[in-house]
This record gives sequence, structure tokens and C-alpha cells, in this order.
Amino acid sequence: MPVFRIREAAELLGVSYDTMLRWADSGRIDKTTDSAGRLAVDGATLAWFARQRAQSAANPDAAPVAAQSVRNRFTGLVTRVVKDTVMAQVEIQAGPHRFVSLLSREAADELALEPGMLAVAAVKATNVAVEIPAPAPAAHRPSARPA
Amino acid sequence: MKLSARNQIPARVTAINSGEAIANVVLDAGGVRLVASITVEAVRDLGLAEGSAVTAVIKASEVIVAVAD
Repeated sequence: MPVFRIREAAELLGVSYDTMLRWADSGRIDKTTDSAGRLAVDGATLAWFARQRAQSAANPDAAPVAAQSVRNRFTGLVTRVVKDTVMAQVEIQAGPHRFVSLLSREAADELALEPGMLAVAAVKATNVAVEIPAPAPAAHRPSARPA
Repeated sequence: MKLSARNQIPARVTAINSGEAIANVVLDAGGVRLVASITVEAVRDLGLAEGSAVTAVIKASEVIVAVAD
């Protein structure tokens, strides 16, 4: 299982280095060491922690009022709305992630989408592709897995 | 909750064929047969069973139009 150094873990969760260090020091997230003995977080632990944190951060006002089968839902703020006569482009900033939605002008008008509104970007699970990032340069590479 | 999806079709569940991860949920929408491939997790969360009243939601950009030869 890969381990991630504090700075890497902070970037993956979209929090500051100081925050991640505080969580590790206070035991809020279990810490370990990498192969060089530096402070790190186990990948599986980090994944679990990120998921718990996302769930607890869900805005109750934005919680689904009707159950949906869509597995992937990101609550955020509308940052940009561009409309032509047929289609609209809407951008939602959810935490560190920017989502772009192309939808009909009719839909954008009906939802009265405008910057500053709370909205949910929803993506059906069958539409999510998985990529593995290319290895980072040696100096920044996540620590090698234990032998 | 309001949805942007233009196609929201009332339907009833007529069959659920579950695999390990995915379930094909067969719907009857006023005589038209629709099939939704959703996760088994979603079937459980929504409490779906035969006879459940549901809404089939299809984003307009996913709808293909065909005409007769």
C-alpha cells in the first residue's frame, strides 16, 4: 500500500500543510513513516479519512430531498453561467474541484442558475473514468511501498 | 430537488436483475420498456423493488434520435 507524505496528503485533500500536520499530530488521522523514516500517512487510511470528511461536510441544506441513483454528487457554488440561444455552460466550484456542465438553455433558465447559487454537480457512476497519475519526478514522488 | 435533466419519465419497476456490482432495473413507462443500469448500492439506497414508482431521468445530450429507413 502506498504512503503519502504530509504535503502530498494535504494536496490530495485540499487542505493546508499545517492542517494536515495538526490532524496527524493530534491522532485525528493515523500517521506512519515512509521508507526513509519521514512522517507519512498510509494511502488506505487517507482514502477512508477523505471519504468520512466529505460526508460530514455535506451541507444539510443541500442534502438530497429526493433519493437518486446517481452515486457521485458534489455540492458547490455556481461560479459562472454562459448561455446562448440553445445551450448553457455552468461552472460549479466544489472544494478544490471545478465542474463544468453543459446543459440546455431551457434547463439553466428553469433552475435560474446564476453565480453564487448553491448547486450539486451529479455524475452517473458509469460515466466516471479512472486514471492513474504518471509517476512524479523523483524529488516529489510518493514514498516507495514497503518491501 | 430540481433537476436540469430535460427528460423525467414516470415509471414503475417491473424487474431487477442484480449482479455483484451493477443491477439492471427494468421499468415500464406507460407501456414503454426502459432499462436503467445502476449500482447495486443505489438499488439498496433507494429501496427499489418490483412495483416501486420511480422517475427515469435522462440528460438530453444522451438521447439519440432515429428515423425509419
